[in-house]
Amino acid sequence: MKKKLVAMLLTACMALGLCATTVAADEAEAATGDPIKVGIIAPLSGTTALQGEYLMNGYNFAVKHINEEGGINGRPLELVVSDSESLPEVGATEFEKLAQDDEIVAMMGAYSSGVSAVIAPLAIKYSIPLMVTHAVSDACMELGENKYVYRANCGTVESYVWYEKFFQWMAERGTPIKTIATVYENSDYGFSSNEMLQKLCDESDLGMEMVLSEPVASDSADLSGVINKLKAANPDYAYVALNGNDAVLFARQMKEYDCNVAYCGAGGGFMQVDYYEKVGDLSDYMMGISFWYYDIIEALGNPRAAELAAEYHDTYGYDMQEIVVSAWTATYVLADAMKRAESIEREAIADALKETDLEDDTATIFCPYNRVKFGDDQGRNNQNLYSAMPSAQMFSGEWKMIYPADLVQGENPLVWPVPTWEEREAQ
Amino acid sequence: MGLGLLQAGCDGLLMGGVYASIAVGLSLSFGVMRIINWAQGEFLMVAMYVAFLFVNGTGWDPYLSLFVPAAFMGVLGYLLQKFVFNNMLDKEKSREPLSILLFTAGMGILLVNVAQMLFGSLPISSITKYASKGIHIGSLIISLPRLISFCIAVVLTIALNFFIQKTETGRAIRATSQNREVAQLMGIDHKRIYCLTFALGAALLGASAALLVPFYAVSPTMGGSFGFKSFIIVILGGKGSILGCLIGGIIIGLIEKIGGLYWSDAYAQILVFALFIVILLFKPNGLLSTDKDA
Amino acid sequence: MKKYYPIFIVAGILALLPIGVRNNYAVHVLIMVILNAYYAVSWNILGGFTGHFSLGNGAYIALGGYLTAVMYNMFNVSPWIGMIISALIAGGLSILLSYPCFKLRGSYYTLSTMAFLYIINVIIVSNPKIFGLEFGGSKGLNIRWQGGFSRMQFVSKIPYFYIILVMFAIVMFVTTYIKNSKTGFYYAAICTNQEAAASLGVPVLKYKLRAQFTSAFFSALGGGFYAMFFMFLEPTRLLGFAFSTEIMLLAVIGGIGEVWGPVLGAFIMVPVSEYLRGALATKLNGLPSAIYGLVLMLVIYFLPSGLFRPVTSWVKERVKAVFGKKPAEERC
Repeated sequence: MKKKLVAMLLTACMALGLCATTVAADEAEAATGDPIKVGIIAPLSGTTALQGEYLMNGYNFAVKHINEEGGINGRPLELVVSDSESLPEVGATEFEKLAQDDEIVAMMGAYSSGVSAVIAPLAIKYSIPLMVTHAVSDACMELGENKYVYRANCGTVESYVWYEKFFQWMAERGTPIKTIATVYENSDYGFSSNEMLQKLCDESDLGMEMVLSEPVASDSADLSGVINKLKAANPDYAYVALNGNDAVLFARQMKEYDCNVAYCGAGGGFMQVDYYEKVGDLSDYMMGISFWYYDIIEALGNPRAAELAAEYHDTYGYDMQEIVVSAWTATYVLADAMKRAESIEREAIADALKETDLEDDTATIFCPYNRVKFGDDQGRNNQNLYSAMPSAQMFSGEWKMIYPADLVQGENPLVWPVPTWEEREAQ
Repeated sequence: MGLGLLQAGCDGLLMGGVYASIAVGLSLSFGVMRIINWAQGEFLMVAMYVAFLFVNGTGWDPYLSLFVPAAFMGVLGYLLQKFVFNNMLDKEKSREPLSILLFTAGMGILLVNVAQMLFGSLPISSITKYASKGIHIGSLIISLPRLISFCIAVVLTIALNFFIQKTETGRAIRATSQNREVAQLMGIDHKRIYCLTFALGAALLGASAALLVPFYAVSPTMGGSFGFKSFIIVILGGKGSILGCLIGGIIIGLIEKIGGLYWSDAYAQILVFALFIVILLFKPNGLLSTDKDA
Repeated sequence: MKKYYPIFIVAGILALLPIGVRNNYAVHVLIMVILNAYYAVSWNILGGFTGHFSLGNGAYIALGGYLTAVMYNMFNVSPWIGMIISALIAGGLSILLSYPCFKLRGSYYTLSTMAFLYIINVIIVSNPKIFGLEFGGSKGLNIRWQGGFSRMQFVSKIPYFYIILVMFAIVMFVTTYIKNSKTGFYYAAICTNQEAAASLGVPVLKYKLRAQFTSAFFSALGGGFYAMFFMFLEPTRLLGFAFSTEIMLLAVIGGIGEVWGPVLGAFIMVPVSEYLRGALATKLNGLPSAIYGLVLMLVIYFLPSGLFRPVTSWVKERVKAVFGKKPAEERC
């Protein structure tokens, strides 16, 4: 009897399921008039769920303020969110689902390069404007001449440029970096970062050599092998791209194994909001080069930005971070385009995005750059050519800007060379 | 490279001991009941959440508080065996309960996502007084927390082995695993033995979770790699053999570190899996098996 | 011939569905349902019929996809042909890998398939170029869009739907044929008791390899379709344990011994998970997958042979009640 019941219920599910998805998806929503709907593809679950949270915070925070400031010519923005589960095929399915809804006039997403690379061609296919958010891989911007896919934040090309500038600056101030090492998780992010730095060594005039290049399986219980190799190779500068637990483990084991190599912490793991709580002063003197650091707000000296940052902290319980800023910028750029567009329709918004030229705008109020203008460059289309990746160093849990000069407050706080563990004990 | 090799060997040994204690539960349940717990890694994750919450909440020493996750997992394991697995074993006609394997696969998915719902994805870790301390012997550095964890893991594993080999209940467990029908004729309640076996394995898993607290962190998806390594260790060492687990775990630890030294950490994992395949093909009963057939 | 009727009926009904549906997303879901059913049925040729549960089918699907994509991207080989070539290569490779592994039984065999899957995963993720061929590495592989029938690239989803429907029908024909042929009986014998079968003269290894080849061949064909449909291949997902486990679970829930079991499993679970994700994901992260896991546990606990028998016998009794006719003779 029990079995029959279960079987019945499940058959009903099947019938319902098949019908429901066909029928329900087929019905057009009744037009509601006022709010302007923007579709979001974000990783709400899966391996990058944590970053998805920051992404959504950024979008929501921006939308709240845009609406408070009068919305788009009086009409409020409304986000329609779909979970990509951190998987490209799910992201693609959800993108198509949202693209079917005629009321959704633009899309934003999706944090990870993998998902963004899949939805970008779909944006072109369905002729719906897409603001790629935070993804750094250039694959999503190399789709040829189009008016639908835009990105305000840095891509791989920009990271190459800004790394080169940073190393050049180090050479100019008398502390050149001749040997580098990379330690990276074996994901897309890790591999492309390693490739980029290898290219820097091979092609630029800096004369740098890569002495160690170590891929690491993510979620390792133990990084001692890698750290011992780092010790032996003894580069001037190590680039470490790790996620989640691994970043915390790395900081701890660097001390355990007495490895004094100066390193740059990149990747999601080092940008966790409670990173300092977990590793404490082990993180002192860590270098960084990335989209954004909290110190930039001080550096920019804009009281409104400081106000907003404080409000963000009150709302979410922790400070802003780089993903939040990427989302904020993307949302504001989109809103600006909508205000200029001839009508609130996909084609018109796409045309308006093409003409974007923002300077000193709320869109970049947090950013280390103050201009957004899309152009074609080095094989990419509709990339913001004015983005930047500044460098910083961490002291007592706070990042302090060290490069470029216009973001440095007072005397440059850079401590180089980085003190050894023994020297730190003595301090 | 002599020092490098010694260092790698040392690190591998220490980590291997902990891997072993994590795998023992799987070995026991596989050896005695032919049960394969596909969610072994997720069980570890649950135990770690318990351990971290306790340590972070009370500030107790992580090693002293190993009784908490051990007891929690032990009880959970007992109940699971009593109310779910025993029933499934009764229904299963073939010698190997495939349905339990599939059931635990579903359970693994459930556990990961419930953890995600309850705790979010932010990894939880603790700052303990053992963190980042290393013992220097010449140029060799031994990580203090890992050394302590290794010692406790080995002690617990040997203690469990002693229990299985020397005590009355242990003998009952071994008898049941060798021949269930005959054991029953001898008056052994095999269902109770099964519950006890699973509970013991789960308790050791819980204790192992506490051993990871000083140098590791927990997040919903961290269990996967530990789970698979446990399978490899169980097969390497021979199912049912606790000492085999210890040896298997240490071998895996050594391969990871020494492979990582000469190749790289990520590729060293391939070595582990390749070894696994070789063992499967040539010595499926493991290096120290207690059973005659594969 | 009577055994093939259900294929015509089901395929016929499915073929009519898109006509009433304009929504692209709905068609997309239908394609996913049929594709997953296709994967599960291909898996079942080895898994359900011979009792060797492979958790590495993702490798053959991925291989099919990658080879088709590479042949198309680099050598302009039409995917229609590329799919078949990659399926043959995948089938050949599967025999090579399985030959030693078929000595193993039950879970040992399953673990060995997982080990191979992991190794292939690391190889592809770490090496964007293998033997000079562009596999994309961890970034994944994009497939060039040029459009056109000869390249199996269509703007609308409807042609894809009919392609997968035909593939599905083909694999159902093949499976039904196998089940009722001498080969099928040998498979069943191997599944029930391998030693007894061998002692009765069944060439066990040869038949297992045959089943493996068939299963890998069709899986890889499915991978080729997947590549041309999604236009993008990502190794982390395709070569991860989760994907392969899902395929196996679809077949298991549906009922592995049956020809139509995996189909039922896919037709229920795929819409259910799509629906759950749409309805619940934004409310509480992880809830849809948690429910999915719970459903699996319940089905396996209460109905370990899968849903097929209980559902079909229930349906038959309803039919009997309504029409008063005797149900068709039960076939094992």
